[in-house]
Amino acid sequence: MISFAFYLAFLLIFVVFAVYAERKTAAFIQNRLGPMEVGPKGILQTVADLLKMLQKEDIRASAVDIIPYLLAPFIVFAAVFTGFAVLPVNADLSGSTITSGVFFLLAIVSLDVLGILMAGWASNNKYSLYGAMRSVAQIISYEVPLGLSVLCVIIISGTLDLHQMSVLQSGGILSWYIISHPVLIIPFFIFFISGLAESNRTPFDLPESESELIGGYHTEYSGFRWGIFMLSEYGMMLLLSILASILFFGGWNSPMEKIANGPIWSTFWLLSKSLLLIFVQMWVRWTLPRLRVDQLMSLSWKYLTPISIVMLFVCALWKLWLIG
Amino acid sequence: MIQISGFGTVLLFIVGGIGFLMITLLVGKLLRPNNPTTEKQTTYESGEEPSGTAWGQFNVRFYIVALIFLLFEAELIFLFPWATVFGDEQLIAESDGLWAQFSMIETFIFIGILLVGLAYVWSKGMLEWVRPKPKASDFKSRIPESAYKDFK
Amino acid sequence: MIITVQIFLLMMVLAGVGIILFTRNIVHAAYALCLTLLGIAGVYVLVMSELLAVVQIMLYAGGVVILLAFGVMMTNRLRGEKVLSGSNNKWIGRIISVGVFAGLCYLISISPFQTTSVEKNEDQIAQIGVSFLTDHIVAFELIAFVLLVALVGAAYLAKNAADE
Repeated sequence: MISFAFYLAFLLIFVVFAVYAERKTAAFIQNRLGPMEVGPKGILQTVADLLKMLQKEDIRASAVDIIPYLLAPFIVFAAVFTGFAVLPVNADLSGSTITSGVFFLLAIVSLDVLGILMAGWASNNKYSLYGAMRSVAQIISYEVPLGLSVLCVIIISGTLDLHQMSVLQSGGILSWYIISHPVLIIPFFIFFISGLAESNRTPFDLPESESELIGGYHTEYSGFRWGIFMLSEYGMMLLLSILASILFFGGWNSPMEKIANGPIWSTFWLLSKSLLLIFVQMWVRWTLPRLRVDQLMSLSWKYLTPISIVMLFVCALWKLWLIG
Repeated sequence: MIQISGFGTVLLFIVGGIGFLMITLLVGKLLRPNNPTTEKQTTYESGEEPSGTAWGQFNVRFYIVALIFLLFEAELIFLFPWATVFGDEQLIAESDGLWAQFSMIETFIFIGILLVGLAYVWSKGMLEWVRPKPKASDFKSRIPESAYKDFK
Repeated sequence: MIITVQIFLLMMVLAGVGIILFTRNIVHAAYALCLTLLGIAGVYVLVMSELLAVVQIMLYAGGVVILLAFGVMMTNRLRGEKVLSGSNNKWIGRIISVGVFAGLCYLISISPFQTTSVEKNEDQIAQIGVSFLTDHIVAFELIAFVLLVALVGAAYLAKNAADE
């Protein structure tokens, strides 16, 4: 109950500031100012955009397949948001107590593909359908290396429960998995790259590449329905970043063993680690160019998947060696 | 009953998430104007009149990718239970360390068989994406190459 | 509370089945199949079979339905029309489906299902993992072979389709 209220509220606040941060980061990288008009230093720009979005007319093309068209945003958002259910909030609040934890998370998040396909098909627009097809092919391709890199962590931890996994990493920065088990460094990079692809971020933003496909699968959506897709995309970024910080960077554990451990502090550590990863995602977005479709597919199937299978072997041997 | 209540939280997230969207859409409905016209309701096609519908035959490559994905996903599902028990210290202590070695060899065979599958698909060119071959233009400029070098 | 969830899941499964039966739009039928599969995943949760529920969501709702939808979108030879299904051979279809239904009902009625309430297991997934690697090791390795055969066969068929 508390975790639901916390994550819903945090997601909304996060999206408002993440869009602003995204634009400011872009502006900084491209050596310009970015939004400056609304509020001091433009900090209320997203709030203004949000209010505008609520007042926009809901334009539906007459050619759309109406029921799937209206359902699709709900499916995409529900799939991503349900993923938050198994995440712990802090040391005392563990989220949902199901034993399949991260396994359930991967399963439920994979359902957003269905919503995207539905949106693209129901829009009856060529750009939407191309975008949806590309997006689905991309997301399902990168789900394999994503799952395999999560498996590497599970071999080390021996549990699927994300709260339990954080407990196992307590005791300062040296107990974080990425430092105490250096074999996980490569799986972390695979996880991060696949995460970028899963949330359709540059350099994997082919599904919505503006220069070719207008807006991709959400071309025909306007107003707040379009906003739901944006909300889900940022939600996906946040979800995967929190997951990465739990799997590799100790979750809600403080970097110092005895200092700053209370419930508020542990929430702070979890969120600040995730936000740092989100900053890296933004940095990547404004630095790297977009991939081509064939490069995208070969990166997933010819590089990341074989490498992550090899890392699975390496992690198993490492665990065996540790046990002795 | 712990398990049910765990999934109760999940249910809360699903219902709560959808409910939140519905409330927001309802608020939006009260705020936004609604005057549809035929012009507005045409499908967007870069300003042109849309030709036909978008529903048509698609490249079979997408289907192949989905097939390969499905089989690897099935593999992944079998590896999750293995990964949770692989390093179980109690089991290892009970079997004098045999458990870890034994389970590792078994799973290595399992993954190895699937690696053969990946190698097969790869060698058959199923992982290649169709890619347009740009034709080199045979246009020859009348201005000689040396003219550019002399131009300062 | 539980009874509400049970009724809801039943409605979900039946709604999915109803849409599949009565819609003529194949794409809608594929989506409705997902509704049914998710409802069944919910039933697995209620009977304390967590792993099966997650597998159902991941493999069937997230994988098979996508494959089906892709298949429908790919094989559609009618350009620019909705993908509709017609009905042919109605009587043969009815006889076969009633026969299959009766057969399944008979099999279910004679199967010795355990109907006592199952104690909740803390480490269900771990137990399944252990039994994969000990009692059911042959099945475990055979699954890998089955998957390999499926992959090779699918690649072969798809190759032919792509060459056409």
